[in-house]
Amino acid sequence: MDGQNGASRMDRDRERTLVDRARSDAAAFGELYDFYLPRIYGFVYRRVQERSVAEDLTAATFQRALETLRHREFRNDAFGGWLYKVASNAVVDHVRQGRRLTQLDGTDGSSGDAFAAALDADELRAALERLAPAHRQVLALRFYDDLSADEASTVLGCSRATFAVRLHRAIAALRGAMAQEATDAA
Amino acid sequence: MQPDRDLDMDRLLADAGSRARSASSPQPDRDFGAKLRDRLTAQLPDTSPEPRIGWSLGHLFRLPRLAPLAAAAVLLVATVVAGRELYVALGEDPTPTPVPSVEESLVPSAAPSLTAVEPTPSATPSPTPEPTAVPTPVPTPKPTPKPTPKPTPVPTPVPVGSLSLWPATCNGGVALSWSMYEGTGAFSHYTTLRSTSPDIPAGYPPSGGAVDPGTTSTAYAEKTSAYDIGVDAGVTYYYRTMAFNAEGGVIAVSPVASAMGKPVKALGALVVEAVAEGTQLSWTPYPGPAECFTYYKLAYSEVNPEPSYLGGDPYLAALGDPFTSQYVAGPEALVPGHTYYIRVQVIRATHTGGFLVAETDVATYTVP
Repeated sequence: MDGQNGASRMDRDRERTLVDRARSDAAAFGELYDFYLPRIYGFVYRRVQERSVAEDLTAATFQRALETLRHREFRNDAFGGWLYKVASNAVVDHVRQGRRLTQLDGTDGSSGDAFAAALDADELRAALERLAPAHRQVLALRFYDDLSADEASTVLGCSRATFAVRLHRAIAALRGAMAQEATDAA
Repeated sequence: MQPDRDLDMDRLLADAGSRARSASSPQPDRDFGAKLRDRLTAQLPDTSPEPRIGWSLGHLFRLPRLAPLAAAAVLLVATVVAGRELYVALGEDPTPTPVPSVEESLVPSAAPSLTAVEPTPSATPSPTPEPTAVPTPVPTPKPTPKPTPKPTPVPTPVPVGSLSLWPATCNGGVALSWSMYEGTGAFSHYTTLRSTSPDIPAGYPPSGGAVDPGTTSTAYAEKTSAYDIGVDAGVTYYYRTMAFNAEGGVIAVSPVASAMGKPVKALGALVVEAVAEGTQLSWTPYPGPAECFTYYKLAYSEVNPEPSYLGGDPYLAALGDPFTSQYVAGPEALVPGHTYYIRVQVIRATHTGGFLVAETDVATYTVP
């Protein structure tokens, strides 16, 4: 059980076909929606932890998707990754609406915090909390949100190769943090 | 043995992540999911190969709230027709039996007595005259009392309230704002209709040349703004906002108000240069009205030569002051040696999403 329905990834060819048809076909858009709704909702909910907010941001994400498809502005090859990125932007915007809209960076470190908080293994949680937010964010996207490398790299706005490097570094940092935890506990 | 160690950590993290996800990710509410799906797919043509029974029935089935009613109506008609045909086939009176009211059906009716078939008396005279059998009186079925027709309660009509509507002419689209519905009707949603004529009939579906822009519906009474980017530059458009109840009835309506379509504003070049603190971006501030500005988004991408915040690309910063013309990104924001496409965009945010108002040219920048 991963809290999502069915296969965790949509077949790429099927997705491309649906994206192409969804510009003008309600049934095709509906199939994409049915597949991604629980995923996007879960992705958002894990970050905001509030049902009504998660519903609003999920709705805004799919509305944006529909408009982009209708106006033929979708140029990305990976629809799923792009959808996660739109949802991620919506979450960041929401989180920051509570503060003054002055100089803000575009990272979403809160997902890493939520990942650490949700872990049931104390040792792993403590180690994760020692990491830099950027490392936690990479690990959260890959293992907490269960995104593919393509999807995660789209969310982070980097190439797949860059994401692989960042993930490798984050795992190495986590291993170091776990070793440090063990030393501290001894 | 680095790969094996990575694999172990991968497995450890994947298992932990799966458990954490399972414990902290509720499924979306079914009603929410269904309503959102209907709202979204209603904005696209339905090309599914479902059979249509004329316009009205097909249309009825595509309306989610009315689908159960429509199905029940069809079932009822089919049952009556089939029932009549069955009666005719059996040579029976097809006149429908009056259906008892609920009250009547709760009262046990007098069941018809089951009289045993007596053997026919033999024609042979019997020496001992049998006493004449006293016929068992068959109870006369009592006439079913006709229920006194009760007057159907007529619901008190909810007066149609009024809303105020303020469409703002912005570059890139029209920003719509309206006053909140504060009447006593059961609020379901708002929708704003657009027309090139000032005559927009109140009601849905749109009529008289009006259209639903598809981006103006909000399902919460306090969410009172939306946008419309389906406009052509130089054309005057008219709008009317309405509040509806769950049955699709209009419970409040605004007067018709107008706005004009304008193209996205070009802000000119974006200058990107290395400074001691990181990377500095400089641009010409947005010169338009404050009501069309929510924030600058400094969108960037390594892979998309036309970076777009609304298109899903990441951004370096969101800046809420329209007079800002400069921003310095720290050294951690952009990776040395990498090339980025960067653009500053002005976004007007509303309750149904944001739209692009103005943007600079794209700057291509390689971090030293």
